[in-house]
Amino acid sequence: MPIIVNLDVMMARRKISLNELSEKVDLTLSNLSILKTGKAKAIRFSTLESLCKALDCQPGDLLEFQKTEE
Amino acid sequence: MEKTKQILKILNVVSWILFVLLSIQAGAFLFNAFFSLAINPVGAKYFQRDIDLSNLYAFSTWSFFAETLMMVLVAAIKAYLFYLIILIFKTLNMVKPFSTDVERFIFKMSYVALLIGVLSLLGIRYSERLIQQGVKLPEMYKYFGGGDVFLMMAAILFVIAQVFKRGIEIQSENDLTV
Repeated sequence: MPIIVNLDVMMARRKISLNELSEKVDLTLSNLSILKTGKAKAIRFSTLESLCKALDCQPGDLLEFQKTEE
Repeated sequence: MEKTKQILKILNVVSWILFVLLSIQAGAFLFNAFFSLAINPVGAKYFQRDIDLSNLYAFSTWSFFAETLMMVLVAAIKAYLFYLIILIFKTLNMVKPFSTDVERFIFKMSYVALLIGVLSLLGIRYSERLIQQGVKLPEMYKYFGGGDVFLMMAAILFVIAQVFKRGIEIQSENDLTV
């Protein structure tokens, strides 16, 4: 998918583990894992908002668009 | 939800009963056809409690073979249809109802219903042709009746299977929405 989720990059920058983030954003580990591994098909604004709050970043820091050849 | 579960349980029991009865009927037809053709033609007279096919046997062995073959096939495929319904009840999960297994079973059921419909219509037409040729046949509508209903059922099941396919896509999208 051309939309890349840079959650792992932001987590590394903020030095936060998946467990800690899971507690902060009130998401299950499996859902965070789906997001981290790029398997997610959609993300709710509320989830994005809580992730941005927890990681102190902008949505653009978490999501990236990459052009792919069709 | 509790009421739905109870209805599903009752339907499951009914499906099991019909599956067993139709399997017995298919087996009986198969045995009687084989017995009449290979061992003793008198079996045609007592083909089933109310089916006397001795006239048909006397008219032509091939016609007897074709007619009984269709009866066996219709009964066996009907039994298979109920087996598929039993499998659906076994795999159905009301919390997440859209699964590829259920979709596959519904698709199969639609093809099986189509086959039953076609065979039933063929059986009834063949019986009518034999009657026109002067063969005295018992009421065959009991065994070949409802062909058009099965054709309609096949069409409806096919549409339901398509809707189910879309449902699976939406469910998986929903599962992967974080």
